[in-house]
Parts: sequence; C-alpha cells; structure tokens
Amino acid sequence: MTKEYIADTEPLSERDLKIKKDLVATAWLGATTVTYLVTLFLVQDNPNWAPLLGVGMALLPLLPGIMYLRKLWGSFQSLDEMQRRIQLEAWSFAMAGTVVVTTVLNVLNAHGLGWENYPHGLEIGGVFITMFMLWSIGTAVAKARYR
Amino acid sequence: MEYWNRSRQSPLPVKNKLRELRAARAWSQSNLAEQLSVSRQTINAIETGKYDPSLPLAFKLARLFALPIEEIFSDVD
Repeated sequence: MTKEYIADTEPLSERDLKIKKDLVATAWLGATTVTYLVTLFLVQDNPNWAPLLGVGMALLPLLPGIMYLRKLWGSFQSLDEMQRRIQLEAWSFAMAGTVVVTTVLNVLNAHGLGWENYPHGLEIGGVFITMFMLWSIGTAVAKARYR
Repeated sequence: MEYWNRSRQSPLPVKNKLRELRAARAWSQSNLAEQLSVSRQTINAIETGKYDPSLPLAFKLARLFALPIEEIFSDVD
C-alpha cells in the first residue's frame, strides 16, 4: 500500500519546486529570527549565567541562520545571467550602504549625538537588518532598471 | 581630458530583432525563455534593449533561430 502511494505521487513541476524551495528558505529565516529573539531575552534576563553558556546561547541563532544562508546560496546558483547581475548590484549597494550607515551612526554616537537607547552604536542585529533592508531596496531598483 | 572622460563613455548600443523573430514563430516570451533556460524577464529586457545578453546566450539564440548572430544583433551604426 505504501509503494502504491509513493508511485501515485507525481513529481513536482518546476514552479512548484521553486515555491517549495522558497518556503523552506523562509522557514529557516523565521527560525533564525525566533531563535534570535528568544535567546536575546534569555541572555538579558539571566546575566548571572556562566560565560560559556551565555556565549553559547548568543550564538545559537547562527545555526538556523547558516541553514538559511545555505538555501539562499543555493537559490543564487539557479539564477540566470540577468538575475545574477541584479543580485550583484543589489548586494554591492547593500554592503556599501551598510558601511555608510554604520559609520555615520557610530561617528554620531562618538560625538554624543547618537540615540540614547543605543549608546554603543548600531548593534550586530541592527547591522543585519540595515543590510537586509538595503538589499531589498537595491534589488527593487536594479529590477526596475531592466523592466 | 580624454583619460578622465573614458569611464563616462556609454557602452556600444546594440539593437536586436528578437521580438520580430519570436513573433514570426508565434512564441510567447515565456516559451522562448523556457527554451533558453532563462527567465521571461530576461527575454523582455533583451527585447526592449535594457539588457545585452552574454556571448553564450547570444550563441544559444542564434542556434535556436538558425541564424548567424549578426542577423539577430547589430550595433546602431
């Protein structure tokens, strides 16, 4: 009965396969975000934890994060030449923009003009969010140029 | 002066007859894209002159339409 069930299943179409891959990547991104938020609160609420435990918890989001990056890297392999050029432009813009934003914010902080809630400048989570936002903007702008 | 202006010169503009060739065969952009293993957006960008294909893709197009590359792509002059 099990063999009949497997034999009746049709292979996924290319479009369905792409949707499945996107869903898996999004799920890993969601897991990274959730893990990051949970460990952030846990570490903040337990300042007396042993250093090794604290570091381990802080680095825990990297595990689903690496799985997401693997899926993202895999998706780049399936892009055609124009889409790769778009991604190159988008990532270049994101990296350059992140450098500019973090430098400006840190310089402002160093001169006492920063936001009082972030006395140490943009934290690593903020850097990632900035880079992701700039990548999204860069992708949209690059795609519009070729439309 | 010429040295500083060199980087500001735009690349050689290229025209193509892709839309006419595709229409003659009653292919949609999606059909053509599928045969070339590229996205429909890439075909649209080539047809509208917003994107110039790489040499391998240009050769694939030539082979698909059974025409020399020069009959599909030409510079403005």
